[in-house]
Amino acid sequence: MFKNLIRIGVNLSLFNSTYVLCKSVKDEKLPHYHFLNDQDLNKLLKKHQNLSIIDRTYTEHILSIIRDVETETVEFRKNSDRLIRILIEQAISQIEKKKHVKQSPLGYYDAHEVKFEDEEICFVSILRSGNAFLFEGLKAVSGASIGQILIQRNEDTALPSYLFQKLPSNIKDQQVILMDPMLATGSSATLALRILKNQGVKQENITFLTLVSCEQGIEKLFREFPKIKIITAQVDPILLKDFHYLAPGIGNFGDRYFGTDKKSQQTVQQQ
Amino acid sequence: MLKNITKLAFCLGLVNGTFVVCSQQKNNNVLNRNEQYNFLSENELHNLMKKHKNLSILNRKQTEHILSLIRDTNADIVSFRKNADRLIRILMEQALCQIEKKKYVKQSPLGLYEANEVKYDDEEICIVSILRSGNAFLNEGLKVICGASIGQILIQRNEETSMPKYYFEKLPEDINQQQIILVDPMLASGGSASMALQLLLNKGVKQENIIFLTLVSCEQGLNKVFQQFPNIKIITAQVDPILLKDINYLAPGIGDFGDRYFGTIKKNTHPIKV
Repeated sequence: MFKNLIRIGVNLSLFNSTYVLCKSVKDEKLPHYHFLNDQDLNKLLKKHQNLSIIDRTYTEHILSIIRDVETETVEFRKNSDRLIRILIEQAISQIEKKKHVKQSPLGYYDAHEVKFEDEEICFVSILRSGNAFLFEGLKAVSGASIGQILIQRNEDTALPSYLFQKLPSNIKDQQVILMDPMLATGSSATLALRILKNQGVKQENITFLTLVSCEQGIEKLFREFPKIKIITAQVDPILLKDFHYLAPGIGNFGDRYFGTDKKSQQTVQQQ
Repeated sequence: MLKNITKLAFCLGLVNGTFVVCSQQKNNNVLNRNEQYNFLSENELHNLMKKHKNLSILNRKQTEHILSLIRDTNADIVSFRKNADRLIRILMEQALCQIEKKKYVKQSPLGLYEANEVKYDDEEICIVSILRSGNAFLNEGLKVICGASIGQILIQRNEETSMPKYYFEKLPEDINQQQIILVDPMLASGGSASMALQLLLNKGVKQENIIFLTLVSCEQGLNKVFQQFPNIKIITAQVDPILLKDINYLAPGIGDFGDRYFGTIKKNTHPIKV
């Protein structure tokens, strides 16, 4: 009887070890991404003069919560709004300012104020994900006009298709802040920028805001539109070729913010 | 010579007279923007509510002031948005209060009490907005229901034929199990609303689970929507008396809510201060 017991024990331990081995092999399939270091980021900034990357200490914590696959919708929205607010304040700080002399309760001071009024600033959002930026945008600039361009990326070909637009009629006289959470291949952004160009907007008047971008996307935009400004919170290292998704990225920002795809908690894991 | 002058004066008088008459005629054909519209009386509103059991019109005292500021054509964009948001918040709270509630017994610091709470979690409520104007509701909607999912349907009305055209939709996958709050600021002919509702029904949503919110509506629109979908609930802030036939706009209405809220058409251009 002891022999049988020993046999059962050996079999069980064999099963157990194969299970542990297989599990660890499967876990190894989940890639571990490392972010770009400060040197690489500095090189990027030198290469493109009109690019701004927000200071890492500002954005590390918030971005880490947003990227987390376990984050619930409410937390995701709260933290995205925080990050979006930081980006929008950065964008407004880069708009041309004018010097006045004003009077404080104790004396005169040099006043540097944004040259344009609220109504001369226009937020253009690339539907659907770009709409998430509008909530915070309106809090920061209450009188801004809002334009919308609907561009959807065909999931199979990854090519963008233009569906619809509604822009202010005087948009060529306005300071435009174009918004889209992700900048991957840069094709949707390029399409939107072309539409703005056709409406007569000058490149110097456009600031493009995005949460996460990648080198390829930034280069493509700057090649065709060298004079726009781009402000991004972080530059991710990898653009996955087949899916054209950023890695580690955020997943599908629109689905996560608007809560339309609860099953997409498992982000793209195949390579 | 005097005769010639009198002839000249006479001719001028004739020309002037015909000009005045013609311009008056022209004004009669063009939309007279100075016309005075009177709102429906309490009686008529009561009749409407008796006719449609699932219709709720907000108390006039709550909405009079705010709606009057929104309708004003001289309202600048900041005050338009502020007041629209106030009204939208009131509508949202009204919608939430009509969702099914469940009874519990809970404990306050001093003892037990009967708790009537909304039966569903935040995530089981979905706000579906009819782009583009419906998006204005999302701002306040997310403040009230932080965890709600958001669906979007893009329907644009062809300005010439007034027929709605469907472009695009993005709805949660499990939408047939959710409580839906459909939002669109105006309910005129009811064409876009019917199209959106039909879309939702095709996805498997039950009529009883849909609440339709709108700022201003009219009788024809309400009749049409209730005829096709008798089991949905509609909450509106005010019912306007007239639906202008040619352009299918409400009168006095708000104008084009989307353009006014998003600032895409500037009527009075202010000179740029240097």
